[in-house]
Amino acid sequence: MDKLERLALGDSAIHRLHPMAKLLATIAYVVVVLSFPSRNVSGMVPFLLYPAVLMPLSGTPYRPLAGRLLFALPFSLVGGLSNLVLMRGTAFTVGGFSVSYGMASFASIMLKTLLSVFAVLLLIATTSFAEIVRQLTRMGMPNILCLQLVMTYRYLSVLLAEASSMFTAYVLRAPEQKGVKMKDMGSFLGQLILRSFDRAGRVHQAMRCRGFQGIYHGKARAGLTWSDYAYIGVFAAGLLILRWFNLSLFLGGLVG
Amino acid sequence: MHMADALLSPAVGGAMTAVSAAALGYAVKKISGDGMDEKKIPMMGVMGAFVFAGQMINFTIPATGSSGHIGGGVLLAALLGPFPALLTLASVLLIQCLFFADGGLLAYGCNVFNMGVVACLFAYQYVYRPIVKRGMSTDRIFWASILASMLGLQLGAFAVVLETLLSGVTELPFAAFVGLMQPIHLAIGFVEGIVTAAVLSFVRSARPELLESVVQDTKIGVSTKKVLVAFLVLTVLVGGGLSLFASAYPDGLEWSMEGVAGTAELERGGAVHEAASSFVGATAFMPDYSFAGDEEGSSLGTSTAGVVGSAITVALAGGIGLLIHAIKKPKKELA
Repeated sequence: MDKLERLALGDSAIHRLHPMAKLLATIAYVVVVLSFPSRNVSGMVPFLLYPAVLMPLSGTPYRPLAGRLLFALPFSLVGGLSNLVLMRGTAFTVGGFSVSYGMASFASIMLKTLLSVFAVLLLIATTSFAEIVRQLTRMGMPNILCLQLVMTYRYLSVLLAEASSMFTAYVLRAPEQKGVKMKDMGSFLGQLILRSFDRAGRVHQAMRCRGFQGIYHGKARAGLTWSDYAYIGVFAAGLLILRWFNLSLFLGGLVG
Repeated sequence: MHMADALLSPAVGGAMTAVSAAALGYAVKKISGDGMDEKKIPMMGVMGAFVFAGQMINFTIPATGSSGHIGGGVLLAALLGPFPALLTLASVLLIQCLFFADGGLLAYGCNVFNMGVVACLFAYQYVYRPIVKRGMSTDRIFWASILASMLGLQLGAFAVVLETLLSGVTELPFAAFVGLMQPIHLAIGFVEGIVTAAVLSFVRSARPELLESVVQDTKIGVSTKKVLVAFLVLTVLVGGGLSLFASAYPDGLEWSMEGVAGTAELERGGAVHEAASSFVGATAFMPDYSFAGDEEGSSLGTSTAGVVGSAITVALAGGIGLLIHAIKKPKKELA
C-alpha cells in the first residue's frame, strides 16, 4: 500500500491529468471490458493497450500491480476453472490444436481479471486517495462518507503499526507459533478495540481544538483543462471503437 | 468473500451499486438526521482502520491446522450501531478495492451489500439486537454473536451465488455453487461468531457502557415496515434496472455475434432471459448459446484470424509499451 501511495505522488503527464478525468475513464473502461461476453477473447485483447500505454507513461512498475492480482484470482479461478471443466465442446481448431468453449471462456475470465484489476490499480498509482475522495464528493457522495473515508485512510497506518507491535509482543511470549491462538483472540482484538476507541477520543479532542465542525476542508483544485477534455474524448472514442471493432480479427485478417 | 469484477456483468454490478447506494444513503440520513453526536465521526474513522488492522491478524483454528481472520460486520455493528457500522465497512471495502484489488470496482456495490448491508442491517438488527436487548449477559452475547455471524455469512454467501449466476459469466451450475459456498461459510460464520463473542465479552468486562449504550439507543432502531417497503422498492429498482438494460442493449452475446461473425443472431430474449436461464440452468451447460461460427460455417477462418490477430495485438501493445518506456528513460537520466 505504501508503495502505491508513493507512486501517486509522482509527476507525469498522467499524474497531472484531472482526477475526475481519470476516475471517469477508469469506471468506463471497467464497464466496457466487463460488457464483453465471456467467449469473445480476441475482441478484448486490444484493451491491453490501455495498461501497456499508461504504465510506461506514468512510470508505474508492474511488480506492485502484479502482486495484487492474487487477491482477485481465487474468485475468478472458481468461475474460470468450472467453465474449463464444464464446457468441453470444441469451439474451433487452430493448427491441429482444438480449443474448447471452456478454454476460450477461461481465457476471457482471466483476461477480464487482469484488465479490471490493472485499471483500478493504475488509477490509484497515479492519483492520490484524497483527490479521488474529493471527486466522489463532487459527484454527490455525502460529506459524512467523505470524512469517513479520509479518516479511515489516515489512521490505517497508525492502527496497523499498533496491531503489529501487539502481535510482535504476543509472538515473543508465544514462540514457534503461527498467528494468535483462537482463544486469545478475544482479549487481543478487544485490547486493540479499546486502544482504538481511546485514540478516537484523543483524535476528536485534537480536531475540536483545531476548530473542526463536521466538515472536511481541502485545497480546492482548478477545473478540467482542455487537455483533460482531450483525454476523456480520445479515451471514450477509443473505448467505443474497440468495443465494436475487433482489432485482433482485423490484424489477423491482414496477415492471413 | 470479496467478489472480483471478472465474473460480473455490468447489469448486475450496476443494479447492486444502486441498491447499496440506497442503503448507504439511508444510513447517512439516519446518522445525520438523528443528530448523532459528531464524536462518532472520528470514532467511525478509527474503527474503519481497526477493521483493517484486525484483519491482518491471523488466528489459528484449533484442530484444523488452518487459520483465518475476522470479517467484522456484526462486531462493528455491536460496537457502533448498525448504520455507522455500515458506513465504516463501506469505507473499508472501498479502500480494499482501490489499494489491494481485493474486490472489484464494479463489484463494489455487491460487496457492500453482501458483507455490509447483510451483516449490519439484517444479521445485527434482527438476530443480535433482539437477543441482547432484553438483558446483556455473557451467554446472550455468545449466542447472539454466533447466530448473527452465521446468518450474516450464509445470506452473504448466497447473495454472492445469486449475483454471480445472474451475471452469467461462469457456467458453474447453481446446485454445485451453492453446495460449495454455503457449507464453507457455515464453518467460517461459526468461527467468526466465536471470535466476535470473545471480543465483545472482553470489551464488556472492560467497558460495559460501550455495548449497553449501543443496544439501548432507540434512535438506531429500524421499523420492520420501513425495511420491507425499502426492499420492495429496491427489488423493483433491480428488476427494472435489469430489464432496462436488456431492452436497451441487444444483449452481450449478440454483441459478440456481430464481432465474430458479422451478424447478430436472432430470437434471443435479452439479458434477463439470459440471466434467468443461467440461474435456473443447473442442467444447462450450453442450452442456447453457441459460437456464432458454428452456425455460420466459417468458424475455422474467423477463429484462426482471431488467435493470430490477438497474438499480434498483444505484441503490438507490448511493443508500444516498451517503446514509450525506452523514449522516457533517457529523458529521466538526463534530468
